[in-house]
Amino acid sequence: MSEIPSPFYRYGLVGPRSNLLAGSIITAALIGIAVLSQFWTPYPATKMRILMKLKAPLEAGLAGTDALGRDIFSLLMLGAWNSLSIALLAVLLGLVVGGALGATAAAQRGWVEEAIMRMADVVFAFPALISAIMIAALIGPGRWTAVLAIGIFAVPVFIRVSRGEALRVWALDFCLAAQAAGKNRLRITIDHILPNIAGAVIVQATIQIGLAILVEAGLGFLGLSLAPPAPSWGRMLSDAQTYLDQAPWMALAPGATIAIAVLGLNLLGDGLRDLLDPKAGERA
Amino acid sequence: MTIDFDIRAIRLKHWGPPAKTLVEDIAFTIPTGSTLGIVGESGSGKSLTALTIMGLLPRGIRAEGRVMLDGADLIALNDRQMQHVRGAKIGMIFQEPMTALNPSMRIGDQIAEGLRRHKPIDRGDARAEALRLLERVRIPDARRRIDTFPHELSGGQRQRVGIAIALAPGPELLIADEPTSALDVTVQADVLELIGELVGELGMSLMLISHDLGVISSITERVLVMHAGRSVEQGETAHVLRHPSHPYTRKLLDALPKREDVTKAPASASAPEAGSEPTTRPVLEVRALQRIYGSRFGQPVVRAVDGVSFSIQPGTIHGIVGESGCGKSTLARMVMGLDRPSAGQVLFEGENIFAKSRRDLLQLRRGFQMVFQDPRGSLDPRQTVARIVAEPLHLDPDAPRGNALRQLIGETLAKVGLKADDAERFPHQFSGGQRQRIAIARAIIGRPKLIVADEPVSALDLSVQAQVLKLILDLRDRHGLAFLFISHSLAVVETISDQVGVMYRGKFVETGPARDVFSNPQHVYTRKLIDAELRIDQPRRYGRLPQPAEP
Repeated sequence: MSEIPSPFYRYGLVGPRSNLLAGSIITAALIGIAVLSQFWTPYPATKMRILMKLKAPLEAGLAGTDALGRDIFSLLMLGAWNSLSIALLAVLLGLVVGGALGATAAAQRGWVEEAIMRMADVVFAFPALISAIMIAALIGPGRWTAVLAIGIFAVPVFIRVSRGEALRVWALDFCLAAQAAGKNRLRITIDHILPNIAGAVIVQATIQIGLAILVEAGLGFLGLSLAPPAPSWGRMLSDAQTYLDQAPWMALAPGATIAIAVLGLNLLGDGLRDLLDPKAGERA
Repeated sequence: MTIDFDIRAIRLKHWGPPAKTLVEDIAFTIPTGSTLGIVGESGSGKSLTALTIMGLLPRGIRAEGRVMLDGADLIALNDRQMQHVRGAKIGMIFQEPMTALNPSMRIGDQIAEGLRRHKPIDRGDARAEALRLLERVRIPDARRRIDTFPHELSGGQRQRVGIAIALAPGPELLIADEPTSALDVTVQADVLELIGELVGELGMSLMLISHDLGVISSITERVLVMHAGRSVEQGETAHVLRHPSHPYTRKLLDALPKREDVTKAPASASAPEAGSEPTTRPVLEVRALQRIYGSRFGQPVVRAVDGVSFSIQPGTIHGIVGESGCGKSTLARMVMGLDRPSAGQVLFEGENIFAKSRRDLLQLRRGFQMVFQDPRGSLDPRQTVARIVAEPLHLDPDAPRGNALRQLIGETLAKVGLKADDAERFPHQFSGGQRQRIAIARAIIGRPKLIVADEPVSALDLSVQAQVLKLILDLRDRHGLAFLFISHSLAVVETISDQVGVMYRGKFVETGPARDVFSNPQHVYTRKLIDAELRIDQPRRYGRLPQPAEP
């Protein structure tokens, strides 16, 4: 081995930061495309062109066209915006509610903790789909149904992560020192607990966004998410079902997009974990 | 069997950045049946040296050089070949008996596992041999204990099991890496005695690694002193410790807490003469304090603290010494008001802290602060030193703000020997001793009258420990602070305390001025503690005792 760092190492393509790099590139590209779709798409995405229907990739547009002659690439771009915004809002909801409950459980202990954790167990036992169907029955399918269903599904995850981490931090002597300095539990939670669990919670949030994209696609597939004509990756998959033998690209394009998006967010989460908590990475 | 260790360097090699040299130029020989001690502070490379012999260096770390064992170079062996050396020829005892044993495996099976790997014997014979070994390492009631799990044993017994496992395949060299550092002083004496006995009886060589000069001098014939990855001095143990030639060895020896310090250090002016009636009001008075755990649900009752009384005069240091589980930390928490006693009172300047309302207690809290054992855990890694140090001022409505606060933080840091511009740095940028100084700065910023220090120097290296102790004495003398100083180390408590209490099973078995208690112990337990303490001015006590023929 040479003493000079190889260029591959220098740019992080190999070595301890490769996950972080790959994850950030994919995620940044995804976000870039989603934002761009709000201003520009190669074709007006929702415009139907019956004459152009079921064209293969590159024959018409980058990724071909669907049964209604819409440009699949443009649909994917707009779908990215919809998917990402729903996933982000849902995870934010889960993070705020779950993080607050988890930190409260760790700070109060006793019956409060017991109640919060058992409630988390109950919510965790419901699959997101079931809660989505229930919510859709109440307020009808749509963006907020998806956000609410996926958000509720994420709450117990964040309760568990934040409580576990908070308990670890509470056991450290500086919390005892803060108590000795006369701070109450809320004050200690804000001053000491939250900054110290933020890393773990952010890592969980990144991975959870990936998961939320997957769940959102599932809801879209069942028609419980955004109503047509708003493009959604999940519904593109369900539309493609009928044409699988004639136009496989109709299914492959959104399928691959979902896979890449989830992969990117998971790599980013792993990379962030290694960065924020190098010890956990070594153990893995 | 002679082991010939000659390593040019041990280097850490990662993906790309240049290799980092961790250890350089270490050479020693352990002839058959002899003992070598390796002493050094944390990070000196002593454990890496042991792992090199075992071929167990972590990934990315390489040793360059030779380790010759019976004419074979261990460094050149591949992993398969090395497996026949590990265990069979070289046995290892680890520091932490809790984690060195598999918690989900019966101890008899753990011993038999090593036996069966290296010798062709059947299960029954292996079990019989395991039983013999357990009896050999003096596990009481071995016949029944052979089927227990590690968590059912005490720390000392676990370490004995660890020794039995290392002995099982009949190694010729035993490597012990800090084998007694996690044990209480009386248990440590028993374990060292056992190791010495076994080494002598079985004709094994011993390589013992320790940061504790007392341990080294009690059992080893020769010693190698390591500092910052280099060997600084090597020679016969008694000679090196009495006539050190290298400045670093001298510095280490000077850092040892010494008995004479007690008489030299004058009690501060406000402290009453030993024996005379205290004239000032004690800053802290503890009356018949009791803490009982598990009285509900039919659990066995544990009397963690059982009727402890003492008082501390302003400007004096009250030491409490005791072994793990004696209740000294529970006592500290109650004195701080962080845990409620089952019975008894804690009076701070004459006021019972548990009879106060929350608000009044907060007011009172300004007067007493706490310093913890592990400076790594007691400072919030996400806060700057300034925020950490200023934390107790949170209680004080008239605390300075802005520039005045910054100035106060700077002054406080200066008092503990740090620089004012350290305030904007984060804890991880400091060494262990500096972090403990930050913790002390946090304790003294609100001008308290009393500081409760729970094992404040136990996690520190010897030379740093001496500096922190000096700082504490300084604060007592110059600022008239009183300390409740809790430690498991007799030598440390002896060095620093004006008054001491020896604690055993929740009670004080002996109290009085430090001088009297240690020079003329009355209670059996105090005497046992003092006897078990290893001092470097004593001749070697364990292992094959020096023959007259030795040069």
